[in-house]
Amino acid sequence: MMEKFENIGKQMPYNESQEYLDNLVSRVTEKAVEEGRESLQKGRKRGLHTILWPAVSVAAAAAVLLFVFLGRGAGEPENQTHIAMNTESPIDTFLNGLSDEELMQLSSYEIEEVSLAEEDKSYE
Amino acid sequence: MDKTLEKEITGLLNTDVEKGFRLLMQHCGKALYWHIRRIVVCHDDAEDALQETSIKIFRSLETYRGDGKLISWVYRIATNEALHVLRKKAGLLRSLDSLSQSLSGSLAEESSLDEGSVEVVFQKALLTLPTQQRIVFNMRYYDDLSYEEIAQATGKSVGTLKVNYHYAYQKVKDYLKENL
Repeated sequence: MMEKFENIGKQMPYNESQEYLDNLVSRVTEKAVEEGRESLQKGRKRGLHTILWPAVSVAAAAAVLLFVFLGRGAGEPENQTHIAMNTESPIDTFLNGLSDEELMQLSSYEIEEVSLAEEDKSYE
Repeated sequence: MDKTLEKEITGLLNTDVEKGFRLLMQHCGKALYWHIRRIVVCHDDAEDALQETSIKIFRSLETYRGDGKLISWVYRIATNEALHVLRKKAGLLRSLDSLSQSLSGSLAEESSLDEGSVEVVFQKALLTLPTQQRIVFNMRYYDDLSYEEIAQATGKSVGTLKVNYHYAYQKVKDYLKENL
């Protein structure tokens, strides 16, 4: 079947020379290699990110869980009381021991003292 | 591509992909250009499609399993890129086969020979074919690929390809009778 077309041949009606096409192919090849390398490097970086991010997330989640569980173990009522007692200052102990009336007197005394002090200052 | 060369390239791909790719392009680059050019007709489009083809080949060579013929695999990528160019030209509403008029126009613009020359008339005859038939005819007539190789490249059965080629041959013959 194909023999009948042989008179026509396989010549294409274009004028691109062999040299031009050789150059074109080598140019195209070099660009492909260049872009291929770049995409390979990007792919590797992306791959590293793909591995690193889940690892970091899992580690963070594990750290949070550990913190919660250890916090619960250490947070027994006795220890909490102990800590609270230790942080109470002597002034707080004194104030807690006062009755309501004594507290009122103390607060009014403070206000008077402050206003007097201000008046004193203004006369100076 | 003969079997020795294909073996050499496939062997290189296992050890040095870049070297294997260069050898492949050295031997197939021009054939791929002409294969694409026959489909898209316009040189600039052919150059762009060849560039995309070579990038895709290089990127995919690492994953190439060698379960088919290398030449068929390479032609498959090139054909897809060429068809991609045509689809962009055709747009959403037009079929690829409706491009024959504009492709004939490109042929007239880019041809270095007279419009009545045998080569130009033959190309015009090919452009009257449906795209699928045209691709099969080109691969068989110009690239001397076997039906099995074309089947691997196009994903069609050998029987379908033989029918395609037969219809293409008849149409081209009739066109030449009328126009030469």
